[in-house]
Amino acid sequence: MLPALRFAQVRRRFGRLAVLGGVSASVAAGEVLLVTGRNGSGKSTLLRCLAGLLAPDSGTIDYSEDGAPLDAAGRRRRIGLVAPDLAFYGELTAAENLAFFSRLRGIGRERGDELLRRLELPPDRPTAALSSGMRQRLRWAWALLHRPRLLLLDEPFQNLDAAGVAITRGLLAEHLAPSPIASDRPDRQDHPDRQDCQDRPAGPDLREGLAAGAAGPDRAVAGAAPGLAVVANPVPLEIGSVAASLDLGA
Amino acid sequence: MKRTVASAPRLLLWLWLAAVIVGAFEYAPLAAKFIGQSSRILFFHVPMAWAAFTAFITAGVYSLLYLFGRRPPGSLRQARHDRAARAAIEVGLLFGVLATVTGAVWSRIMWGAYWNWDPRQTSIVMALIFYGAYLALRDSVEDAEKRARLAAAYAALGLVVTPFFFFVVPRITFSLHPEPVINARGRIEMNPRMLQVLLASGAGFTALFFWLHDLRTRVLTLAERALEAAAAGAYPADAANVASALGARASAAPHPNPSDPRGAGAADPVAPSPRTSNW
Amino acid sequence: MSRPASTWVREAAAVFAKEWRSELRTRYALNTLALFAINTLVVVSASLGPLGAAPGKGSEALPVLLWLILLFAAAAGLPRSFVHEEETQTATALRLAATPSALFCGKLAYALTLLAALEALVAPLFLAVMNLDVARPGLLVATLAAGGFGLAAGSTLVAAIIAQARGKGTLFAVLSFPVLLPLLLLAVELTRGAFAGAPPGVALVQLLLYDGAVTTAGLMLFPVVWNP
Repeated sequence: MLPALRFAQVRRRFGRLAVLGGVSASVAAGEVLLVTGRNGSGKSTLLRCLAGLLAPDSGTIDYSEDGAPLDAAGRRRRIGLVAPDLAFYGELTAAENLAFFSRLRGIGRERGDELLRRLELPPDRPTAALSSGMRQRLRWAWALLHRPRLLLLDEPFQNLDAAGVAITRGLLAEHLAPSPIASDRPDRQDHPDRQDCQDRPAGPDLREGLAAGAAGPDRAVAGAAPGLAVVANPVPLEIGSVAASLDLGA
Repeated sequence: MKRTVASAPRLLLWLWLAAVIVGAFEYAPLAAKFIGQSSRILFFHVPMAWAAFTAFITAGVYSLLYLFGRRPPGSLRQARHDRAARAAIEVGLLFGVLATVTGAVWSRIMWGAYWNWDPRQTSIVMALIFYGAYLALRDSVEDAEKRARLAAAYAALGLVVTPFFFFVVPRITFSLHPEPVINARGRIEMNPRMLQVLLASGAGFTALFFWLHDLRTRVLTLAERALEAAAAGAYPADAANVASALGARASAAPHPNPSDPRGAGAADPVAPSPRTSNW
Repeated sequence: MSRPASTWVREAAAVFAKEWRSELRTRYALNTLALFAINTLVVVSASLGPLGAAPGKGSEALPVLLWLILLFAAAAGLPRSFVHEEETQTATALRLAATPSALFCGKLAYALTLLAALEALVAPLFLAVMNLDVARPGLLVATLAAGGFGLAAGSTLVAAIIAQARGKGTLFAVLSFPVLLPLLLLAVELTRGAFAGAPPGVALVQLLLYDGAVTTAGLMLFPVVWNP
């Protein structure tokens, strides 16, 4: 079941201001669509339309698996979003937040716990007391909780330190190309990417690193279809597997 | 309906209403328990209340059509249904206010007071407040799509609430209102001539509502198209531009080749060339 | 609905549990409801003076006052469950994760329990402070239950609507009071009967019908209110 995303002539205006003026692109499994543009060019608006949070004024958005379009419930299962305005319940801890959403989605707590471990989030601190970088990591954890097929990432690395960027790049690479070795391993001490990830493409190096350190209690994600991602950022990002880029204007 | 000023259906409506007015004063007799000529008001007050009710139900139906109706592929909900719902509510409020005012005038004649807190009097006003709240809700939402959707949901809720206001609430406690003529028990206890004029007036006012509704909907549609034309960058500077803007619904966005893997789009339809941006 | 009923129930239960967990940590709604209701009760009974000690003199107004206290307290404390989600932007995550009808039921269940707690506080206090004898306590309980249900259902749907608009506080009152009015009139009528000992007549059935109609409308309309 290969997922694919295609949108055509998406238009959206707010009052008299035409924010999106007819944008089109398509993304296939294993690919990344990189959306760039200055502030106010409509990147977040486009991603919100793709997520189903905003209705475009006209145009089509088709997310389908094997050609069959999905209904709203299907889209909720398949889409994960990281966005700056995503917020969680401040009086609940990170673990409780993820537990709530796990229960909503009908998945067990283990996935949330392992994501918390992997993203090095303190599970028992109220979310309101988390730093902005920690909150960004929580957004990633939430987005990946249900193993989505389509990741919509709006400024995904904002507020993250070098370690955070490394971890999340790794998660993105796994999402795009899950392999039996792409498991949820707790220890990443010998990971080559941790040193410098700002100016190196993460894709091929990451896969090599994972293949090299294949020992450990791995849970195979066998048979998982490669995911796709749309990444929006004010400046272009170096991410492996960028198949297309869309510039919304300067 | 033909869009000319002196079209046949419209003339018919005017003649019909003129006949109703004449009939109310000349053809129908006076009612027994009413003071003086005041029973004439029946032929206008009751049909206006009926027209208001019809208006609110129409708005509810259009709202349901807007929310749940079929959509052409590639576009969102049919905005025209939302405009029709809003127009129906506006005209319905007009008829409702007139019904309340005529009722108050008659109440003054009969019992010396414009307002008695009579349940039927009060419940109609509460219905008017409900639909006034609809307009307040529309004013409180900036985004057009959200505004239409939330307002339609509220008007659809009105389908549940309005029958309660018009039919159930007035019966909860004792009312000064004369017995409702046509509903409740199913027996009609009115002089035949009065009934004829009343029914004719009801038909006339209902037709009047649909005509006013049609006019108002068209005004709203034109206003919406002007807004879209302005948003698309085609500021109407003269008559020719106005005509093309209103007729063509042009949007100047470039059409990228869909098979091109490096898809390109532009946010501002007036600026033609996309280019990469680095800061 | 394509999802099996058990997952739907689980979702609604998860929302209900989350609402109460958050509420017990912040106690915002409980405090607001309780303090508002008690304040209003004190104002009402103090300004009525020794009236409460002499039933029959102005006792016509007492059922109305009880329901007004409940109405205003509900308007102060119930909308927060949706307004807070929109204001703190947690609604985005909910939109992407929850089935709308299950979400509505979870929030409705929360509103019902909150209102039940409010009534359990206000009604006995009201009866005590106004020195009222209730001729038909069963009818009073039934009225509080049925009226409270409608109050919660109507408030939940209207709260979901205004949470996405501006001017939320006043707009809630403007939009919800017309919707809740038939309910109030019926509840007042029944409460009057409960105090005086009159049989309910058709009013209780009408109240239950109204509750059912508003709840059904809420279940059907909430998905389109919640999602574009």
